[in-house]
Amino acid sequence: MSDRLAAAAAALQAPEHLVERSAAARAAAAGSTTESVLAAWAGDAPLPAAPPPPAPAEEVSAPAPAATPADPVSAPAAAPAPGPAAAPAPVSPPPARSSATPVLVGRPYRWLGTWLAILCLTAVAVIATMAVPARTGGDFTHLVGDPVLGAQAVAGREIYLREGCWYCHTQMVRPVLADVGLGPATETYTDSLKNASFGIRRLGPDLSRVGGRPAYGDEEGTVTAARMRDFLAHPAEAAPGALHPSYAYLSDRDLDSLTAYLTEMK
Amino acid sequence: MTQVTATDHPTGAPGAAAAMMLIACLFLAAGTALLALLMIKLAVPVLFEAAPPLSYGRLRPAAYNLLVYGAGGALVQAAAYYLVPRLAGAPLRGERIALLNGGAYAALVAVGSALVMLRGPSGTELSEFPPVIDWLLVACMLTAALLVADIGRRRTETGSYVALSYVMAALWWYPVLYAIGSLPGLVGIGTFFQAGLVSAGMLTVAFPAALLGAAYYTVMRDSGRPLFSGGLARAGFWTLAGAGLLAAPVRYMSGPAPAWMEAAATVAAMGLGLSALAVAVNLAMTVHGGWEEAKTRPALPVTMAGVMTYAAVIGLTGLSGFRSAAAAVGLTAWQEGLDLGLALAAVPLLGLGFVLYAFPRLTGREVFAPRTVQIGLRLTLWGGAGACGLLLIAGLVTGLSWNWANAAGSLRNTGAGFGTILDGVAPLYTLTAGAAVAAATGVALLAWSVLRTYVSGQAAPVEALVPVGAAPESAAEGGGDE
Repeated sequence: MSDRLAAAAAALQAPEHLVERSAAARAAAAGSTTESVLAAWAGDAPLPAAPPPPAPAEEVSAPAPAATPADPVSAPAAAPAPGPAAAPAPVSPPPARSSATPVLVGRPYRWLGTWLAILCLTAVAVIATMAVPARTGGDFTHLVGDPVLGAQAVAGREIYLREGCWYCHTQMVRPVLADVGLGPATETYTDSLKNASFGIRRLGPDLSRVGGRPAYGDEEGTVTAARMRDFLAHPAEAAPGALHPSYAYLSDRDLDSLTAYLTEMK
Repeated sequence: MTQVTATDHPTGAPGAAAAMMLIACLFLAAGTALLALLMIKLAVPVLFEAAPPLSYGRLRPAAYNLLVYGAGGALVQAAAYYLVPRLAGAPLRGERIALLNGGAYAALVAVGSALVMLRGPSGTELSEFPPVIDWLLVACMLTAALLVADIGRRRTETGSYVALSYVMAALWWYPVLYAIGSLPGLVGIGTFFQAGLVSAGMLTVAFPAALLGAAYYTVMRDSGRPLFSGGLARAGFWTLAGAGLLAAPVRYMSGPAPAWMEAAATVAAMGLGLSALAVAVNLAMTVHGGWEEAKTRPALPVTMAGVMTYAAVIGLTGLSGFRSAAAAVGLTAWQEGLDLGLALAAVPLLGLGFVLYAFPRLTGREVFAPRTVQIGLRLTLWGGAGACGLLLIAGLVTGLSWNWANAAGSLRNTGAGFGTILDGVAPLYTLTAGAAVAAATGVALLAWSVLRTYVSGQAAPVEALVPVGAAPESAAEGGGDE
């Protein structure tokens, strides 16, 4: 058998131990002997017929049938064939390839090693994209300076966050051509930067220093608290055509606070 | 040691894997419906303006949380409970714990999403649940991961298949990223980087990862063809694991991130795109030559549509990581389009493809109404791709307009400049809403088909994984998965 095994391994260009396991599995599935399967793979005899239908091959090292991690039957309504013969035969010739290929060569799976590698890569990413840049301010040259806010505006910032305004508005002017019209790029980062809410989308306009800009639709001047409040409560009337939701459902106090937050960001 | 043994499926409650699949279907239907409503709100802001829970700023986090944590989290657990026992050669032990844990997880996500709608988001993006729910959710995610780790401890199969790596990685990425997103005490710029990492990591890495593993399994098993390349699959996985999270800053290029971080993100985004390409090429080549026969099965076309959509969206994410591209599309609706492509098309299709493959096998039933599945697939694919594409166009138009207007000196302020340009793409938002409704309808049809599969007809006997020497009945009770 060792000669045939060596011949089959040479013919298939696969390790002997793997070919031996594959041959055993094929033999069990086909109802023949390991010797005959090896002989067929070595080119000495015709290949024993596999039981229909051929089960798909997996890229796992071919286990003996008793150790096969089994998949359910391919057609649920079909009556199952009990016993090891019903096991998927990873050694079935892949339909699209040479019938001489009994199995795809798998590698031993290192559970702990894989988990540790995944966690290490995750840790590297967290350190590189969050921990380090959040603690090293020296590299930053273009962040908003912290707006100086009164008590009502600070309360308004909570409304801004609670109502999810930051899903559509940024408070971040980048040093790129697209942002030139928004004024100077945002200032150097400081640890006290608590009142800005940067955001990463501009489905609506950028709102950094919005309190120092003209009102919606105006070319000149600075938006007043009254116009800002009117826009927030009734955007359809204050700025016809503007795609902005109404915040008329907010209480007067909340609406005043939100207005104060936006108008004090200059 | 395990062997295949004939046994009847229990006629009572479904196992943990099947239960999580059912839960995922419900969350998918609800989440995509809210996402469609969100797109309608984007086009017609006055709709339901008197109902605070349906305001855009509350609807968006609720929709994405239902999809990423509700559907995505349930699908990660379902994929783990289904695939890992088969690939490791050991049954799930603690089926009841898994069921209870899954039920608690689903309830927490549902309550959290409801609270987000009622009271508004309370944290950064994709960490918007109240803190008490945050840490309970992390505990549920870790419980699922530990149950699967126990399977690995008792494994009998030493061989590897790449699906295992994807599923296990997703099992850990979910709790780790969620915990990072829930870390208290960060302010200002720290919060910004925290949100950037968690939102990008969840959406582009953790959310689809387990389902990519499931796709590797589903496509190969359902087509009956061997995987085209194991090496390519492993390379794709490790590229995703190494580059996926590092690519997060491409969402805010030219923003507050230091230059070295942006350079690394650009390279990582290319890697992310290549990893998606590896999956798409590998699975396409796997079914190549057998597609005509394979596409007649319900699960395979849905899975392949999900794979291709995922590859397209992630490929575009990679391209938008270049500074030149980011200068044109950065911060615009482009990014929203990419998110929508994942949440409304790619992941639902990947998830439902896996469920359509596995659920009938778990329950011993035929897929209900295959014709409905075909209609659902078309609606989801074309609707989701259409919504994604329209927002990409809107983002590109917006970004180029900002650049051109600035170059001409005509873009001056919030009012007459940016607002005008943003309003100019409003028709595209209207079309997006229509496409999103079509996609949500498609997902609902697919989910309905799965749910009807569960309640229709009699369960046929199915095969089970049982420990050698154990009686089938005791195995089914103690962890036999069918």
